[in-house]
Amino acid sequence: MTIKRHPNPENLMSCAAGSMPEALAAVMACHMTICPRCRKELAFLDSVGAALLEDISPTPLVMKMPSPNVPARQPKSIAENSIKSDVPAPLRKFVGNRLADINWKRVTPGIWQFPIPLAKHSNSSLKLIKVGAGLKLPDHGHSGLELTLVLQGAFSDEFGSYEVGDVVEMGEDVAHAPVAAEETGCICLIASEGPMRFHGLLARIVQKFTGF
Amino acid sequence: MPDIEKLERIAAQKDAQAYRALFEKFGPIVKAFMMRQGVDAATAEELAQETMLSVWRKAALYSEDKGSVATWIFAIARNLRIDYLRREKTWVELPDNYAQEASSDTSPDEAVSGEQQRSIIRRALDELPEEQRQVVILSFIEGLPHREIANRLNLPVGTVKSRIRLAYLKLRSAVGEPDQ
Repeated sequence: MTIKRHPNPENLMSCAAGSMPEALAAVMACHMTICPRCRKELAFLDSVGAALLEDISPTPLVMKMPSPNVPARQPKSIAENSIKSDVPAPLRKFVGNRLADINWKRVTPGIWQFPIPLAKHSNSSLKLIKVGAGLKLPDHGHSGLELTLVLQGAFSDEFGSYEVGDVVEMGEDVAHAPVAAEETGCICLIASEGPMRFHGLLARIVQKFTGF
Repeated sequence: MPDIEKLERIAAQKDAQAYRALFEKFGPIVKAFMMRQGVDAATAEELAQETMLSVWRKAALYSEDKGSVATWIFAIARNLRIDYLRREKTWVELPDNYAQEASSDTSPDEAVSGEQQRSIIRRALDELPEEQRQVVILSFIEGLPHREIANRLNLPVGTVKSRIRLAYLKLRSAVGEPDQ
């Protein structure tokens, strides 16, 4: 799998800094599990974080000697990653191991969603969305940054086409009308900083159902 | 004794002296880092102790592929802080084999040792224009999202993002161009 679209540098940086709204951090974490290139970028940014720590003036801290009986931590099972699964590891505890088995909730004919719960104060929302083959979503804008990770199939919009592993960033002032691929449809993980804004009447009806 | 050797001693024989040395070097900085992130002193103390305890417990899991010891400790501290502040552990902590796998890709960076990389990054940070350095510090050290940095500095979010992007590109090109 060749991933063509990676998160922007500023989002990689806030991911490494641990300063992203939760839903966006979740999309980044899922992308990392399938993108060696971005894992390497993140490792580089961790070393930037470490270099910045050198400038902090230390605060006294009394050493507590750990008991020699504190068990060493075992490596996390690699098996967890070798399970045959089309769901990125961080999502599995919410949705299971197979996209096909997700308990999808139908929104309108051809559109399903599965919301993923976040901390109450996360100021962001996260959901999986499944769109039937060739289906067009209403033209919509965004009230904050929206990050989309393609998990299955593909979709396209005015700006390009996106395949599995790609991360698509839609800024605050951008509107687009995505279309799911003819052959496959599309399953995506979508994180939004704020509610999505649909244009047009039909769109408002959809919005009523989806809460986008 | 280099930090890596201290970790190896902790891993191999629970060497208390090696641990004390790492604790004295990193513990007080980690505590100060937690306080900069907006955590109260008591919690910062707790999180710093927990970070150092993780160093003790996970010493055997460290490998140079994960970057310098300081980088590794930064990542542990950041993850504990996110876990504490947002209770969203699920998203941050990648399984332990990821970093190793990532660095098994061929890359020109690998020719550079951890120590060399550290001084290259230090220099690149020092050379950043103040307005770029400031947003990087607010992001990493104060833990602020782009939007809050924008509010703090009274700037449009887009300006904050483009400053961070410029800083990233400068820092990144100091250690070699990223893969496409």
